[in-house]
Amino acid sequence: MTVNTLDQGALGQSSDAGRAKTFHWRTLASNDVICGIAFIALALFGLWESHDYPMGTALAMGPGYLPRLLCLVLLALGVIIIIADLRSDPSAQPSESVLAEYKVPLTWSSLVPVVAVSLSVFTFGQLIERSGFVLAMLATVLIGGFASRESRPLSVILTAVILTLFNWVVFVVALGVPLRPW
Amino acid sequence: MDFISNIVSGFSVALNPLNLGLALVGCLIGTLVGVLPGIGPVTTIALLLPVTFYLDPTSGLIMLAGIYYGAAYGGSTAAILLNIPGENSAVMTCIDGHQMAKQNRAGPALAIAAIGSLFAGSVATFFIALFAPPLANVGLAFGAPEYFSLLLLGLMSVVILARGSIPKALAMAVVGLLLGTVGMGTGTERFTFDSVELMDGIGFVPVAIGIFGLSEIIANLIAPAENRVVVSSKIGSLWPTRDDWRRSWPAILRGTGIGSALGILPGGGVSISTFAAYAVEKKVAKDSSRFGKGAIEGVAGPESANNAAAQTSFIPMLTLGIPGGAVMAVMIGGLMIHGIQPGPRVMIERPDLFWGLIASMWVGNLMLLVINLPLIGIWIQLLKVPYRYLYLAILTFACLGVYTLNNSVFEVGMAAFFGAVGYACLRLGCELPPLMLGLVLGPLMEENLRRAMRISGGDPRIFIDRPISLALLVVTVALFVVLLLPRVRKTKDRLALDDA
Repeated sequence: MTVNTLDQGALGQSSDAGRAKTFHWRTLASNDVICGIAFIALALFGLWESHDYPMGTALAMGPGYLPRLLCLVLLALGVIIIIADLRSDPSAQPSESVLAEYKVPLTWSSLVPVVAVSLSVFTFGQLIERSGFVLAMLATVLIGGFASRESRPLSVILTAVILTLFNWVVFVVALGVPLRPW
Repeated sequence: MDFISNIVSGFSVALNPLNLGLALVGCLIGTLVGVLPGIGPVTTIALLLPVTFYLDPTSGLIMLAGIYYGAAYGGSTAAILLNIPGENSAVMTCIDGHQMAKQNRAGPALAIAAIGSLFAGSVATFFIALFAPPLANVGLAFGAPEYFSLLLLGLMSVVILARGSIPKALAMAVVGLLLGTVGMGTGTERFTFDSVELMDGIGFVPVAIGIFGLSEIIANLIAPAENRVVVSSKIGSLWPTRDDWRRSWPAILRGTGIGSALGILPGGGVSISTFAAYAVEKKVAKDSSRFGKGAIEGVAGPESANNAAAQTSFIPMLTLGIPGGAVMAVMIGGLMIHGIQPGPRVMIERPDLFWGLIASMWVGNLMLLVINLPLIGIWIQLLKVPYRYLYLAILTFACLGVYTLNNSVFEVGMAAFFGAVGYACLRLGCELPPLMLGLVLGPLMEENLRRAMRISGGDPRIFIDRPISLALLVVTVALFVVLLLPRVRKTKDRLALDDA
């Protein structure tokens, strides 16, 4: 993740002399290269995991036929993506300018929403059966509250209580979903 | 005449109290979602999929459809009053619509937008009713090879029309297909890692909620806070002047035509049709300098176009089972949860579903006009709810939605995982709809591929020997070629294709 920080313009003030060095970093750390690596890794993992699935023939395809074929295609695409990116002009305006709204500089603190949201949902799953609806809801909202820079503790707690009640009414009372309160 | 009896039976389904109520709920939620930036119809539909599980599929689909075209309407309300396009399809409406609001003419703008939408929706509904059955008849001649080519076309069209880079979108589609192979689908375990839950495969709902809903929340929270500029313009009188009418009705007609035609195209017909409609109005106007300063044609045209396109975009999905985009992909997934496989057979096996939905879309449009206009004040108030509370609510709905679908803690965990993955994809510029579609269509494609191979004795030429299959493949290739042409590519990238 730190590698991405370099990509996202934190080096905007690099001098010309430093540009030659950062050029290499940029190239290696660009979005497309990372994507490509991820795709290749996924494809290799798939190939490894499926190494003993019977392939069969085209006429009678075994379970391994399609997955392995797909992995090979993915592998190829990953390579293509990386090569295409390394060959392209790094200072050219990316055609992803329409996705510009996501190009906020990535720092450690921007990981907080990712962790908070994922953890919040995960916690819900862990608690809903063990500890019941109320606790699960409250925990979900409280953990989720960490995700926003603007939240104030008191309002998060209040929101947690309100949402717990609201969701109880909507899901359990109105929709009749069988959930244990505790 | 068959046509009439179909429509009548459709209305009898659409007008039953439950379905009426659900259409209303769908429209209201859709409008709300359309007004609020930061949450869109795809996310909402994905979140509400689990709810439809408790309903019969027709009713569920009616509600989800209501959300879809309700959102188009809500987007234009925000566009006119606040210059904030709640949806991509409302971007053009901002231009002249907001100018009109500033001139204290928000009322007529809103009214014309609603009326134009109703007209366009009616025409589009009629259009669907007329052309869908013949189209579906063609679809009935389909065998395994044709289905495969069709599904391939559907998948490829979402890949091709995705924003950004095509190899990455293609890779995402492949990842989706791979995810679809997980489980015991073909009789032996694949990629199950000794997990009992994975034997059923990767559920489409947790993934949908994760990659569309949760990732959107994360993205909104990471991006800097928006400044909400609330224009407290009084709405004033709702009724347009005679001059307004005179100018608007040709624009409405043109917009309807453009939207109906372009909406059928897979992959984003709704936004494209609004841009096209605006451009046409400007060209056709006697005094084009009025545009950008509050020309009512600039509202009437795009608004009619976007509603017509939203309706006709159901055609490929309902008749052939090809999703036009992310929204349709999610709806297809929703139908499959109920055990209905979208495609030409739906019209025959479940005519109540097909005609009921179509009739309901018309009813919904009427509701939007009649009910929403008075409710505008409330929608504006709701825009004032800060996102820091809103997202918590959405988070809880997402959790409950996923869990209650299958009482599965595992799926909740999966949603959490895919939320993070979805956000990573957004950052890396990887398109999500192709992944979704690969997951949904993958198992079907594999099954049809196998069957086709068995029929042909292992010979892949069967796909080109059979004329329909060949035609579909040719269209797929043609799409690739046309959209790889540099000029078309630049235009495509410039247009913010909506998620639909």
